[in-house]
Amino acid sequence: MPLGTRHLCPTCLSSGLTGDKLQELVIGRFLWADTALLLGTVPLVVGIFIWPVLIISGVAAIFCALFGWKKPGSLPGGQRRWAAVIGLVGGLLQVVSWFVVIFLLTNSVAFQRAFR
Amino acid sequence: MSAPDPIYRKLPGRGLGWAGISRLWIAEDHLLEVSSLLFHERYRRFFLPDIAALIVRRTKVRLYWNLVHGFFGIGGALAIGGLVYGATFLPEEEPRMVLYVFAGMIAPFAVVALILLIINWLLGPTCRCHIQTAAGWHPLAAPTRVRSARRFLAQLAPRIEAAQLPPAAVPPPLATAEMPR
Repeated sequence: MPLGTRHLCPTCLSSGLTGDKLQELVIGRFLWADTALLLGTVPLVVGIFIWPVLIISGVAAIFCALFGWKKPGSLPGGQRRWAAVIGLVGGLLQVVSWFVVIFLLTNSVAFQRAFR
Repeated sequence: MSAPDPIYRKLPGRGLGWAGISRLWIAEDHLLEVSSLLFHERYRRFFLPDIAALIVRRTKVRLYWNLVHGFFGIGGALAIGGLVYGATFLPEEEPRMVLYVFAGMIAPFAVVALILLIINWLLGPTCRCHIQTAAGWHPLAAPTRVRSARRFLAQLAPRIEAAQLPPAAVPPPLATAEMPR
C-alpha cells in the first residue's frame, strides 16, 4: 500500500498505527524535554518572586524529564536529552532549595522563640 | 518497517502566527511544516511528487508593522523631546522632575519600538508562500520574507524537479510464454 512515497504491506501499516507510530502518520508531538527545561530553569531565575510555586514546578520538571525520557522527541529535531537533563537538575535544585528554606525557617531563632 | 525514518534538513525562513513559530524541513521525499506552540509541535507534510506549484506573493505586512513601530517609536521620541523641552521652561523643580520622570517612562518603549522598526526594515519585504497540490491550495506558515523565500525556492525547486522526473524507460518485459514443440 502506498504511504507517501513508501510502499508498505498492510501488516506494517496497521502496526504503524499504534505504539511506535510510522513517522508519516504522526501529526503532532508533545515535547517533554522542552517542558522539563522550561519548568526546571525559569522558576529558578524568577524563584525569589514565586518561591512557594517552586515545589510544584520542581516536581513537575522532574516528572516531565523522567516520564518523557523514552518518549519520542521532535520529529525533525529528535530527542533532546540535554534539555531533559538540564530540566531534571533544575527541578532537583528547586525541590532542594524549597526544603532548605523550610529547614532554615523552622530552625531560625525567631521561629523557636515563637513556638517555645 | 520497510524503509528507515527520514532525515530532515532545515530550510530557510520562519514564520510567526497563531499556530506558533513555524519552520520548514526537507526530507528525501517530502516537505515538512512544523508549527511549535510552547511544548507542542504540529506537522504537515507535502510529498514532493504531489507538489504542482510553489507560489510566493508579496504582502504589505512589513509596511503595517513599520507604521505601528514608527508610530510608537517616533511618536515616543517626539513626546520625550517635547517633555524635556517643556521642562526647561518650568521655573520650579518639582513639576520639572515630573516631566523628566514621564519622559523616562516613555523612553524604554520608544527605544524598543525604534529597534523593532529598524529590524523589520532590515529584514526586507514580506511575503506569503503557497503550495498547490492535487488536494488544493495550501498556505505555508514560513517563510515570510522575500529574501528567505528566494533561498527556500532555490533549495526546494531542484528537489521537486528531481522527484517528478519521469521514471527511466523500462525495457518491455520478456515474453515468457512457452513455445509449442
